[in-house]
Amino acid sequence: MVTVGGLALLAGPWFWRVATELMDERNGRIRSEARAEMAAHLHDSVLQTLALIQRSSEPKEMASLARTQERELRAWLYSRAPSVRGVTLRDAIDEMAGRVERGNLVRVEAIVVGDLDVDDEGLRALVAACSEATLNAAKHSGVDEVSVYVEVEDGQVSAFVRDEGAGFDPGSVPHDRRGIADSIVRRMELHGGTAEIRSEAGRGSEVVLRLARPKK
Amino acid sequence: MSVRVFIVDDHELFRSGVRAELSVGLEIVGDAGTVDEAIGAILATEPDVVVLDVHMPGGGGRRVIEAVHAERPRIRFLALSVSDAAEDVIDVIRAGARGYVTKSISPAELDLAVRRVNDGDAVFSPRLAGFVLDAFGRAAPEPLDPELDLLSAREREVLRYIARGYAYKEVAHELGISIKTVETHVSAVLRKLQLSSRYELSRWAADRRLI
Repeated sequence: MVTVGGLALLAGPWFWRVATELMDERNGRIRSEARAEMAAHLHDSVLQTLALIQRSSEPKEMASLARTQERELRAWLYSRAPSVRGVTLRDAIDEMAGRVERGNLVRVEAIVVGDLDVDDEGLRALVAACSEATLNAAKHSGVDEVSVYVEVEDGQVSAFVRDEGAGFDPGSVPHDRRGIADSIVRRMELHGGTAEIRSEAGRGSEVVLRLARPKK
Repeated sequence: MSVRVFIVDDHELFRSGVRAELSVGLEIVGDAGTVDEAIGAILATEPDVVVLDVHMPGGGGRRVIEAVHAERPRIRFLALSVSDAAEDVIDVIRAGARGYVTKSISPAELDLAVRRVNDGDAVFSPRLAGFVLDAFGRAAPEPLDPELDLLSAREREVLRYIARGYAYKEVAHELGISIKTVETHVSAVLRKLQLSSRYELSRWAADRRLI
């Protein structure tokens, strides 16, 4: 017993030192891996975009490149852990906003309050209708900013797509826009939701989508 | 009498840009690029409104507000940032800023925001309105102080319109109330945000990370 105790007393500090050294080495490795990962990411994203901006001669295109990069970098810096069950509504709306921005040289300010997984047809339809409405505003409003607001409440999900552009009279919609409006409305109704289009010539427009959800 | 403005931002290019934009209609009395430099110069020049960046080495905008407010509580602050992290934004508001706008704001809107803060009103960008709705959205099972922790139905409605991209004037039109009343609601929300329990907000921040 005495020998065992003595050994433990002698070996204790040694074990402690080895354990500490191993921890230090491990932490150092994690830090350098994190640094390498960040360098790789910045190289692939920010540096590439800066190079593109320097080559670009169109102010609008420069702004679009910068906006896209800003959105991506933000998503990377403030990313939440990816949902294990698939895509969250917040990520789906952000992705949609980025896509419309890139394709149309507009700014899409997307704000999502609350969140849930996009795990059924109804929610997928809401995202698709929201995407149509945003694209529609980007293409036809004549202004360079579109506001998207999505709110998850207990029992309901709502989406609002608004622009302060040309607007139109929803009663006498030109044919090309009627198709889009119908596809938004029909898509929502098919899944038990609603779509309301509020607009006046010269006073912008807003598309309001609502989808009922089972209460928790 | 013109509004006297001080600009605090650690990015020199951005600082000179904002200076050029705002000097069209406002009087710029100074600018600073570090927290310590800012505190000294603000106390010396006594501006009406300080436009400041949320993120800065050495304690950030929060430290500037706290140090200045300890000596000159009447100086007002407007936070201007590229930051998207909700916790940082809520933090600077709780330190005493009367508004938050993102750096993508147009010069005319920034000018209006400074004037509004100077008048003692609160300036909520759509993003800040979204953060606040998110923070107070989930009703606590047992609110510690219902007076402070919950938004009224009307306040929530006003914030929703702002998050949807409506200007104060348009919110007033939609709800059939005066702009002054919209400003009163928004100021009340700001006060609740500044006085609400730390517990409630930190739990919200933790929830956000978990989702």
